[in-house]
Amino acid sequence: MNDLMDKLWPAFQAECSEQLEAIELALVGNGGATPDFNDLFRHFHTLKGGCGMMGFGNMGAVAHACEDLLDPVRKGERTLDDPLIDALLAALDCLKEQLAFVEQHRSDPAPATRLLERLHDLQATPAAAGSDAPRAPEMRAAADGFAALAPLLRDWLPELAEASLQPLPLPAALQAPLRHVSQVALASDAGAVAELIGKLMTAPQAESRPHLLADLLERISWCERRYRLDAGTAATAVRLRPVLEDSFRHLAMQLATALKGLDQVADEAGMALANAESLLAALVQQAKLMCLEHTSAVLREALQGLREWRRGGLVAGPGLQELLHVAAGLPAELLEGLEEDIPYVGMCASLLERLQEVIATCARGEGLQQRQAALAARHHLAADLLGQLGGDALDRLEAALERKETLVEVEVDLESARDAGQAFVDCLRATGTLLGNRTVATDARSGAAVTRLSFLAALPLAPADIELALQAVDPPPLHMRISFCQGGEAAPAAVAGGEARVSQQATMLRVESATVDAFVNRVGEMVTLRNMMAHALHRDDIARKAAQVQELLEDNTGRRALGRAEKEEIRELIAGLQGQLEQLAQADSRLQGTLSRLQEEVMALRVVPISLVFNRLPRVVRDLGQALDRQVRLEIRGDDVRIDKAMVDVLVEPLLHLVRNALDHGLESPAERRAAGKPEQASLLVGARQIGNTLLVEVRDDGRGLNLPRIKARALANGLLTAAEAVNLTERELQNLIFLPGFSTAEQVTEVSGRGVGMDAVKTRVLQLGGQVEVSSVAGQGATFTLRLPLSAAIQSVILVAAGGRQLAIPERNVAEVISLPASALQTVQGQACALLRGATLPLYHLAVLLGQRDAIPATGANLEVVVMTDGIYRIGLLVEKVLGRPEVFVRDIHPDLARLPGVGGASVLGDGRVVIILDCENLFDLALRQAQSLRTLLRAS
Amino acid sequence: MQTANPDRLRVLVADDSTLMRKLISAIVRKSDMLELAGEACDGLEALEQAARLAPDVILLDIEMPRMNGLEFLAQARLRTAASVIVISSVVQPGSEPYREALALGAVDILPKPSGVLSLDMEARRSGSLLAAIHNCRRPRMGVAAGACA
Repeated sequence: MNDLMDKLWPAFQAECSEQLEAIELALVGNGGATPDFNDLFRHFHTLKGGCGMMGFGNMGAVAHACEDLLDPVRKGERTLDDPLIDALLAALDCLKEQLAFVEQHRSDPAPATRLLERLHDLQATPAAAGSDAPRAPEMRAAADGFAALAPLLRDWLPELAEASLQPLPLPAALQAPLRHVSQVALASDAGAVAELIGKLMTAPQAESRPHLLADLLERISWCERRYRLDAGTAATAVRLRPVLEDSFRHLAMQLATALKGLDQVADEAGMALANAESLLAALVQQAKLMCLEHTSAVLREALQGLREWRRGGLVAGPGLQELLHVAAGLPAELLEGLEEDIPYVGMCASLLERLQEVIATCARGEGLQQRQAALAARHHLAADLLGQLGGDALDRLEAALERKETLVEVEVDLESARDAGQAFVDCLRATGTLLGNRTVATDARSGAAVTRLSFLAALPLAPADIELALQAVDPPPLHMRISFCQGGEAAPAAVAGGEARVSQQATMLRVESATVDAFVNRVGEMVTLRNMMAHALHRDDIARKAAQVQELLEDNTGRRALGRAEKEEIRELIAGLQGQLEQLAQADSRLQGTLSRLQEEVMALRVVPISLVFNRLPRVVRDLGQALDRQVRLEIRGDDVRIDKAMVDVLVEPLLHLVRNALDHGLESPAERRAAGKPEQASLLVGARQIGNTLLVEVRDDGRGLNLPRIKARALANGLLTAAEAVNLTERELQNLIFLPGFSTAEQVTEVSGRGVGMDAVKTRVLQLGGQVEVSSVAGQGATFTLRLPLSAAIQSVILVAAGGRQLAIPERNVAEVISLPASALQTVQGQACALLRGATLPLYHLAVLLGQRDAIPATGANLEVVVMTDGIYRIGLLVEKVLGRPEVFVRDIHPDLARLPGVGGASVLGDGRVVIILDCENLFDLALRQAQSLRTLLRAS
Repeated sequence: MQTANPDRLRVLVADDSTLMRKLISAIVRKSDMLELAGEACDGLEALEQAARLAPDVILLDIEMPRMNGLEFLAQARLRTAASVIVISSVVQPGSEPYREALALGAVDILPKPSGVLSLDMEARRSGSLLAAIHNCRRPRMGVAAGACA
């Protein structure tokens, strides 16, 4: 792990999850619309690029295989049929797992061998050809622009070209017309022409002008060809060719010489290669100046070939030799063609083709990566190791594998055992095939910096024999480490499966949620600080003290009388203090207003579109529909409604449950639907709406509706209802029976739903969010479940305690610490219970007593459980019977009458459905203060 | 702040992957000879930016939404005088898009950075990327000279 990787990590993570989400959505998109192949391809492509960049080859290999599968689809050679979609979905799942692995370990996951095989097999299977994808319509604007420009260029281009090649400033007579050409160019969307002409007119050095002119001519002749218009390059060529032919010939000769001296080994040919390259580049420019577009195309292809070779993009071999041969002969051949004035276009075309073929056959790029990935997957070899091997090394590797030789990687410590290493390498070379080597800079296990060289070799020996040979050179294996790469089933990409995470997909700005949370916390701290400041301002009563000073001032009894002038001075000082205090108080009240607005705005930052939840539904509907034989058209509405980020995770579960339930119980199979006179394809609508501060989420199906008689029978059978009660139930009450714990009407308990914990779990979850759930249903026409949720749920961490036999929650932000004290630590000072905590006295209060349970018997265990609370100024300890946990709860507003009760701040529903009171801390402090026998026992914190 | 070197080449990065944009921009920013003029996340945006920012060099991805790199090249021919270097992994040497990109006026084609980041980014890929940028903008030679330095 290095700095750069750290820096790019968040972007990598975000991009991966964004692409995966987009892929999922595209594959199982809303309403079964045909996915956009190009988009789909691009998502996999981007994913592959990211993985490649971060060095996660095995993950990249999966994305790559998908990309390969989709390529024929987007070219219109294949349709995106169901087997293909299924395979891509399987790949998607695998990628998600791999991403989870990568996120956890920051290393490449194991190769997904089986999946890759499946994808490759599928690629080999020819499928029905799709229709030709229509090409995007050409933009007409550029053609029109060029049409306006062409006549002007015809008039002035030859002169401009000729003058540009002179080592003199452009003649004054040309300036005005050229400015006009530039203006027209600018007006007709041909900024490039304007810019290049401008530079030609002002270029400080005459030497830079050929370059600019070549560029200009090339662009213009390209447009001439594309738009079939004459813009003066032919006339220009006639003028320039005689001037340039000699230097072209000269360069061609130089190139031939340079290439002849070029050995095939790129490393040693570095300088010669660079020389040949720049000669070829010069030739390309000359060809452009002479407007020999075909010639320059051929030369440029050769130049590109040389560049690729230099960069290692081409594999050395016979193909490369041929390339060199062709390249060396090129300019001369082209020149001959010119002189004899035969139609050299055909010759250029065939030369170009030959070059392209040669380059394509030597290309390292994708083909090589594919081979590496396939080999890695098939033989369970490390991808990073194979990534070092070129095409010829891969050939050798494949041959060795075919001979069933043992593949071995030997790591040699270069600093301590250069000689021993050399000896062993000689031994390897003598008996087997050395496939490649790489340097190892960090130890795989310890992460320490090392200098090692690692060899990959194939040997016709058994592993035991190889180890013997190694022992011969390095008796106790100190300097060398050997590992056998082959054989054994590679562990499948076993990664924590778990729930797929919902990624953050924002359209405008991507901020890590941790950043927002930190920001929220910071604002919370600011609020606390403001409270401390306000406390200092008001509670400490500066004003009162000022008044006391004033009193003392006026009271002259028994003291040295102050002079009149002195008194006046002190009075002024006091008045000044009071004025400043007033200002501070004003500033404080404004600060409070600003802070509370800031707090609101910060909370708004945590808001995300509900599509984050909804995006998961299409996949579920598709998979389940297949499993249960349902044809479902899923319609999603209002997915732009925004909800609190924290609600996303909580909402997913109940919503998935409702959707599963609709498919399992509500919707019928196509046959049943046909029999009932309904369309075979069922409809499932999931929608969100915002009404005021309430979020409405609706799941509506057009299935069979709730079976009320069966619900009643089941409720009776399960003892949820007595026969007498059952008689008087309204239809609505009957429908709501399904939310009771332990109710399930499914005939069989299925995998999908109907575990008997279904609807009541949904209801509990929704209640926890401070919401409600309702159902309405018409027999034979379907059912609608409606969730009503507060749009901004306040989530708080609380310390859950037991006191006075009840569960109570204390907001965590007011809790300094939770401690356990031996009962002996309890003391009484002036009637106030307290304990010594780190040298300071901590007043203690029984929470139950504080809340008015006078009769609550304080627990007298061996240990006292104390929750230490602070309001930023004071600390008090609350004695509780037990500390139960630290859950995150949704705080619900409670009825104002209840809220008036001492100490009560709000209420929440716990995971088990029980209601818990959340205490109000400020209120608790007041209660404590009132109860305290003396203010002095409340000690200042720190 | 460093004073702008007037000779520095201004570079526009066009790639739909945030990750790639970040990486490539980082390479550009590191070079004293280059200046990051802007970033675009598809071909249309790149066209608009190229017209507005008049960069010297455009580093172009091929696979992009709305307008891909090849379409961009065709459109850019007349609109921007910038030299366009294609950075893409879909175009392997000799392949059809590779040829097409060259024919459409790309001055060079490079593979995307890949592999173990530290090695690649610092040494090799950024090296060849920077070399490619400088190569494409260095005026080659005077006609009169008749040979290359």
